Amino acid sequence: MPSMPPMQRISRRTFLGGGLTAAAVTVTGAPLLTACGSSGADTSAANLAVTLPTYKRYAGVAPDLPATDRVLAGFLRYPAHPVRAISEKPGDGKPISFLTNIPGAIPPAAGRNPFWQAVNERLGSPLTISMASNDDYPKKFATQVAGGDLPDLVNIPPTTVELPALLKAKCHDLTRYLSGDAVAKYPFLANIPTEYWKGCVFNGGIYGVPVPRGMSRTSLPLYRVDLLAAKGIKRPAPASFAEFLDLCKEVNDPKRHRWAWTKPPTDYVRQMLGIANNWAQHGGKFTSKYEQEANLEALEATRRMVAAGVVNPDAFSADASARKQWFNGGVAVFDLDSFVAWNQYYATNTAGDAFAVDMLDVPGYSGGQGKPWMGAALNNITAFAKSAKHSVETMLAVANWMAAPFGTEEYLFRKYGLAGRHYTLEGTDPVPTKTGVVETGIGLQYVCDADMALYWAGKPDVAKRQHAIQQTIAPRLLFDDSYGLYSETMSRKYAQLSAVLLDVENQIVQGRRPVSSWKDAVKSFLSQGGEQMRTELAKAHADAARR
Amino acid sequence: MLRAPTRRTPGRQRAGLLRRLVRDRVLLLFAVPGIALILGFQYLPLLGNVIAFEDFQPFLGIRDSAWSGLANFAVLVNGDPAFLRALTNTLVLTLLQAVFVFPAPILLALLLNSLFSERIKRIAQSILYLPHFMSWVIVVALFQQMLGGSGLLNNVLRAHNLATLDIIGNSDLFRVLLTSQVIWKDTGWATILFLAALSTIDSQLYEAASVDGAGRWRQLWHVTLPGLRGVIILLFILRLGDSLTVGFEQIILQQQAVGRDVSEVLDTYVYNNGVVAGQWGVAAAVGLVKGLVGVALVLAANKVAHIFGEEGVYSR
Amino acid sequence: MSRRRDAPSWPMRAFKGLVLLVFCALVVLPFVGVVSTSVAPDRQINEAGGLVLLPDSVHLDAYRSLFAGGVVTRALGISVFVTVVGTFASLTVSALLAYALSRPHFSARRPLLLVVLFSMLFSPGMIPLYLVVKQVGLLDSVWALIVPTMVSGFNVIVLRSFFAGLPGEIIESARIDGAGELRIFGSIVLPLSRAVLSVIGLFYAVGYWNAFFNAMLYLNDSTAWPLQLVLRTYVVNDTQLGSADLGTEQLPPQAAIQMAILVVSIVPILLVYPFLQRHFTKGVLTGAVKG
Repeated sequence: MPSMPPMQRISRRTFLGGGLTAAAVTVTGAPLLTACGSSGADTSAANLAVTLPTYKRYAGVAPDLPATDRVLAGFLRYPAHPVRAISEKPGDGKPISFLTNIPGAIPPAAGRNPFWQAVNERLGSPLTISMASNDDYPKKFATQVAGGDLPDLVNIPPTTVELPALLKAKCHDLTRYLSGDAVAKYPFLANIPTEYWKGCVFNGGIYGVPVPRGMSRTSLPLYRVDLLAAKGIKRPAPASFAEFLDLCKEVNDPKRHRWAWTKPPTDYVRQMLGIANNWAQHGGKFTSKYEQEANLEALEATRRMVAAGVVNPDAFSADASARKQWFNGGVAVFDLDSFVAWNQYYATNTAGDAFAVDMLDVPGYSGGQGKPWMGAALNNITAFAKSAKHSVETMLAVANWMAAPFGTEEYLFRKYGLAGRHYTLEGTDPVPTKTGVVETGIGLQYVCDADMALYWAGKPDVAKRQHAIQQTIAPRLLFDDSYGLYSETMSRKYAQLSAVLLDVENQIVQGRRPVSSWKDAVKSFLSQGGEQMRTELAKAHADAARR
Repeated sequence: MLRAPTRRTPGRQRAGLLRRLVRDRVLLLFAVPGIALILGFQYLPLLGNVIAFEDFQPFLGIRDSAWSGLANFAVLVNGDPAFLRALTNTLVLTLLQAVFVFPAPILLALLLNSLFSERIKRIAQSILYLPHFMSWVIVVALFQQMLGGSGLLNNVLRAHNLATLDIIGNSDLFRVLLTSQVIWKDTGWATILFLAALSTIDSQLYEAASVDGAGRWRQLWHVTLPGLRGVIILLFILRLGDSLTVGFEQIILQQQAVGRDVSEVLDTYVYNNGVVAGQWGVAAAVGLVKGLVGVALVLAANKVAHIFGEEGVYSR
Repeated sequence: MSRRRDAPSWPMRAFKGLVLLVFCALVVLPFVGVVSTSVAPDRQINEAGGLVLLPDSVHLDAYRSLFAGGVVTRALGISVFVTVVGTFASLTVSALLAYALSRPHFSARRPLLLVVLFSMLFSPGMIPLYLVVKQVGLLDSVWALIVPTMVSGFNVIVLRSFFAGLPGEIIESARIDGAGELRIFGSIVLPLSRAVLSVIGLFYAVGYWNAFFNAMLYLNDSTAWPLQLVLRTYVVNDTQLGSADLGTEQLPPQAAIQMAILVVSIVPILLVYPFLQRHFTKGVLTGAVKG
């Protein structure tokens, strides 16, 4: 984001918002906490008093496709002669431990993993990483916390209950190291846009470094360009739900084992109808995406899609990796997913060179333009345990190293490994080898990360298409207005209550419950915590406005 | 932990008891390692279940988390429809399992046992126990791949212009599906214990029956089944103690498709409302109550077994 | 059974054969799918939507990538160690305990039996158990995969019940001959209980073999992980996240690898089973009563 003005001048809504994750990560205080240990300083007001790290864009690499405050930078090829941006080894020679989830298979251990060894060498400290799969991580995390066994660096799930009090009890307050201009000492942390840091403020202090996502997680229908082209459809741009449904029907062909969709795209239809991205705020009053009237229309429409048979009948039974297979194998033509997934589909492509992916814009439900939802701001925050045997400066230097952006030599090494073994150079583009994919997957991206860059080795068209669609949707992006505001009730109950609504939604869409039953479900959502959340968000918003 | 049992030992025999314990020192020694492990790794952590009475937060620990009285137990008594739904579903599934899943391995064991050819018996057994080694993730995926709307079976039907079968993800058939999955996965495996029990039946009894002119059916009725009765009753009582537990992983994996109305059981309820929301106290509270119910059921069932002159889990 | 009763009628035999055949087919068919998918080309798998019954061509890529890097090989070694040592330890401790509990005149029998029985019905919480394991100093040790689960109440009770079912006369007469408990246990009870001991041994072995949860909680160093936990990272990921996260290209686990994993984890058991199977059905009591 090269043209970002200093944070003081941008309004909260001009930049990144977030979905559920972002909302949950901003548990910025716990005034109602019955537990002991918290001092009572954890209010929105105290958090707003924190001066966030001053954003200073790294100027060492110039993108081919420029970034804006919403659109990500794009690169057609990897810059030749990438600069080594950090000269000193960040480590202090002693082992640094890190606890994280990992999204893929377990990588070879340090002793047998040349990539990991090279990381240790470059960090100047051996990195010991305890890993758990995504499914197991919350349990692993809870037991480590309860046992007082936190490692030096901790990947903290955004949905952790009572996060502020936990951080206060167990982790370092980083404010004096990062606040304002202090961050300049860590140029790549300073290169992380200010908005992401808002999710790291708790108890009136900065308690972690962000792992930013935002725009890269914005999810719209991805489609198989090659499969549509075979039907004579080029650059589809349905102008309304009706046209969209026609398009789905046209590509649907169950007899030949092909369906339009991997799963019912209810949230896409919601975006057509302008429904809120999680929470919307107007004049200080908050509205949940669930309670808006238009949901009934969205559910009715999606229900029609399922009834029309354009959704794979196993959409609800299969897991995420099966759905990805359908898309790759042409069993489904559309999938509602993000820019990250777009790249992954290229990584797992088995359909040959013709394979190509693109993304649909959101039309208005009955014409005009829809309102795409901005992706959740943060994947996680990484906090530094008080029990760590390293200086905060050392740990920040490590995080800084992990945040070196696309185009630097550090980034090339961090994401792609060692030339020859982990990738081969085609021109200036690193093309990962099988070994590379296995050995580099040690979870470094969860220590800290730079913003995603739009890029696919050897396929400049991918970045161009991604950049183009981002430019198209950017002006209309709808942000989550609850991002950066704290609600105790949301921290404790939102995940659970949303899951109940999702269950009702699934039943309605499959035609097992009447659309009208949504109203009752929302009523109980509001009475069991929704109203409370609304009140707390409004109060936090008012506090913020007073400042 | 020993409190409950020792209370039942009459105090007047204290001196005698001591003497008998000395007499039994070898047997005591035999029991020590096992009992110590059970006390250390089952009962000692059970003390941690005080978090059932706390608003437990891992970072505060068991000692410093706030006391919350009986708040975590509220869900058991406050008539929360979601909880009652979970309880009903659990009981229905337990009943289904008692009727269909429990007898399946007994029948299969009898069938295998009655086979003429030792070889066929071994081969069949070796095949049938295999599914036990699949995790539920795989079993559920396989069922979907075979029987799902886009699975192998329906692909064939569709290709031949036949009507497709809505099996997977059909909430009306969900209980049948669950039960079939359990039978498919574990029946072969569960026969092992019954086969072991069959092997302890004295073959002279069969000879005697045969000499008395008893046919195969009468031998089954008068020799085989009585020989199995002990282990059947034992396993049934133990299963009864677990009545409130029905296949957590199997169900949670398929819950999205069929919806909570038919698929929410106690364990998924605890997961969805306790673990997911970081409410470890609620999970502990429900676990505690489940344990107590289990104890009551086992003790009662054992009593009933005694009344009918059976040994049950332990004799009087 | 070596001896046979009167031969059954042929309709009965046909019926039995049919039932077995159907049941076996229902098991074998998916397994054919599992093995085929593990060797099928990725493209075919994706186009089939996940499961392939007949591969277009045979590739061992999935197995190769599974064993590349030595993670799986090492984990296999750990699993074998834990299973062998654990089963032996479990069987010893459980048989001793079960024997003591099976003796009708053992004075502490009833209270101890209840201790064992109730241990089955209450599950210790995940966090408290972690704290105990930590206190005992087992964290990050391979013994953490064995010691906490060494005794299963269920297995002890089943063993006890079989021991209790042994004819009392044999044991009594041995006692009259002056044999001590250890001698009775070792030379009478154990030999007579080969079937149930192999069954319970198998239960324990499979328990150890399939366990992953304790390793996930207690072992921070993934080089000490057993096979099932390593394999789990291939199978269960991504059920919560909608899309996997940024790496260079974290490959979502492919069906071929998932199926290869299943094959790899079952083969060892497949190899061991026939050796155990012989013991399950040994008619142990034949003739013994007469003695």
